[in-house]
Amino acid sequence: MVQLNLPANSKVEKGQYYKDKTGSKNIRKINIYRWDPSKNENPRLDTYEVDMDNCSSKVLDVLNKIKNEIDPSIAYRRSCAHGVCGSCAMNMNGKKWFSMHEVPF
Amino acid sequence: MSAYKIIDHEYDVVVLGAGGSGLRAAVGLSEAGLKTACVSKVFPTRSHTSAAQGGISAALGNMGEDDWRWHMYDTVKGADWLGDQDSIEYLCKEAPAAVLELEKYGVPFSRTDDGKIYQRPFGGMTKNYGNETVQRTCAAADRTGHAILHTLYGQALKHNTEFFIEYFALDLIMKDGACKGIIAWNLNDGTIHRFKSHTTIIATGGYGKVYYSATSAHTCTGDGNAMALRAGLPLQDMEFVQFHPTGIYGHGTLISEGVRGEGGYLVNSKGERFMERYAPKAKDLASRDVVSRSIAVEINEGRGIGKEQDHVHLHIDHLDPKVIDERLPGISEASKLFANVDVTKEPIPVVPTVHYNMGGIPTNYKAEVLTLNGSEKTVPGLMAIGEAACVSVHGANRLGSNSLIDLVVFGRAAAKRAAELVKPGMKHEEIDKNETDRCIDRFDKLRNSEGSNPTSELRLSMQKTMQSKCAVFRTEKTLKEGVDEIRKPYDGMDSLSVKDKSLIFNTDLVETLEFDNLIRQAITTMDSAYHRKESRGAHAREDFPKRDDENYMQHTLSWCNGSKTKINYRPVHRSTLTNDVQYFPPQERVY
Repeated sequence: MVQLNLPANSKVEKGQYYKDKTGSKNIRKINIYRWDPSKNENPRLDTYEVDMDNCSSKVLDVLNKIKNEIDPSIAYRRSCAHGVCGSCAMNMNGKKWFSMHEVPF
Repeated sequence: MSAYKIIDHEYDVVVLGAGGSGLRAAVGLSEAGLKTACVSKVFPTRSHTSAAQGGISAALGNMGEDDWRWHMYDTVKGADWLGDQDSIEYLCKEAPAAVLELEKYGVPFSRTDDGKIYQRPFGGMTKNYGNETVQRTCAAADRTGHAILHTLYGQALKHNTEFFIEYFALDLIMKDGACKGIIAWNLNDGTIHRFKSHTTIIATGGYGKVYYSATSAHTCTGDGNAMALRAGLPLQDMEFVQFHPTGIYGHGTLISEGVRGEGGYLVNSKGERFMERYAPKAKDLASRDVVSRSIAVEINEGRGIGKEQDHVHLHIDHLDPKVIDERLPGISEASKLFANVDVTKEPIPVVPTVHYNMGGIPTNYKAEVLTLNGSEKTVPGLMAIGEAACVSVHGANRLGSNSLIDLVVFGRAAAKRAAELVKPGMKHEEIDKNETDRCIDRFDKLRNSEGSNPTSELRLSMQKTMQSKCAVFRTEKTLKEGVDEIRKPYDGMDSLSVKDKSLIFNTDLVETLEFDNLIRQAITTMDSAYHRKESRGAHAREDFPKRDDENYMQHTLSWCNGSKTKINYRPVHRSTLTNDVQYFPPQERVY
């Protein structure tokens, strides 16, 4: 059998771990795929602990919370906030859909 | 600043923004044989025009008798007499042809049984100069903007418009008071692009994101408005911010006025249809500022719904589910998704939410940008259209479905005017190096900010201040506090923190540049509101509850340098464009 592998520079590596600093009891771990084309590094999965007591329910809300409060360097597209323009579509646990429609799994 | 790679382009015309108005202009310019670039920070079909739901107004008369003069009267009255009647005449007279043109382009309008474009009732749209409701708003279900945007993008591709997508515009290039082009940053590869153009058309939309709760897209940051301010040009009527009566409570998602057009109605905690008290004739279909104020009064007087008594209910559960399914499918979906409500069984919780900016870059009806230099003067090489512009057709309050028609009528007007002024292949002037340096300096300074205030914190502080001090009702006290407080986030930029230093898809830096744009507009909005001591349209002062035509039949002009503003006024145009219609003198505004 032919074995198909990702090229070595595309292998997803373990990234940084951002621990919760709020002391919340309702923590959810969110893994985000990161890649910076301006650096010669492999893609990685960063993990963020998010306080779900102070976050509304959709994936896009969680991402906004991470970007605003934990790590401003994460990048994703979003625009209309009404679920009509299509910008916020992404791959979430294998499901490809609008992140503002989707509750975190 | 040689560290940045600068790539030069030459175009006859550059359109900045790829929403409804930008795309309509681009189509017209390309048709006229002009070499046209369309620069947008988002992919064209992601523009906020896609969120427009209810429809596009035009006196087609498909559902009964109608006349563009009635449409004009309604718009003048909706604007609370702050609109320029020459521009309003142009808008309403050109509207029917503009809608038929969209039909020809391929917009999938809803249809009547005999195959005509379906038109629904909308707030403030009346028959015979204010007498009874008329069906004037052409609809493609409740996704009219979406349909128009996608159709216009298709048309622009059919012609030779060259698109620069995901380019963030930084500044206008000015020379001796004329615009010579723009500078933009390509998000995908980090290069800086300098576009020389004979005419630059700003079509960057509104700046709803200065508020905490708005129906606006995350991308509605009024970048073009701020570029005009930095170029030393004024913005007009910035105090007039429209609150849409029905944003979903807690989320801000828009619930179209078309819902009330199709028979939906509002109730308070006592189950009363309270709009009957405030607007006996038009009821739930009064103009937006009137309905928003009525809801605010109900809530303030303790008749709001919910634990906090801070919202009201919008009912459509009495409508035939088939009608909802055919004409309001997007509304059912949004209500389920964002409020967990089944609209066929339960009411939708709603609250007035920031929706539209009547103010913007002052222009005449040909879309040429105006400034005040002794008297009204046009700015050579610069035009503005759509929500970014203040033509002013919407005056102190826009009527629902008048914005989509504004986009296409003035998008087309801009293209026509540019084709008169610019001939294909005209030679470009040299650009002063200082202009580029000034722009790159600002960009570089923001990018390398090493302070302690994250952009998100400053933005939140600005949004909360606007939300509490410059809301539906305003007073001398709240505005005075607002004028002071809104400068704090601006001063906070002295110690700004931008973590991401890369040049490729750096959304941390994008949001910082957007904040730098927003805060200047927040300041001009607050200061303009403070200086207008009367109530007119969307600007409701509790301490000055009456309209004051003697002192304020004038457009506010506001310049902004740093956090300092200069306020001046220019008289409202008190004449029509032609003799086809007479000037409508100010009257009391009752619905």
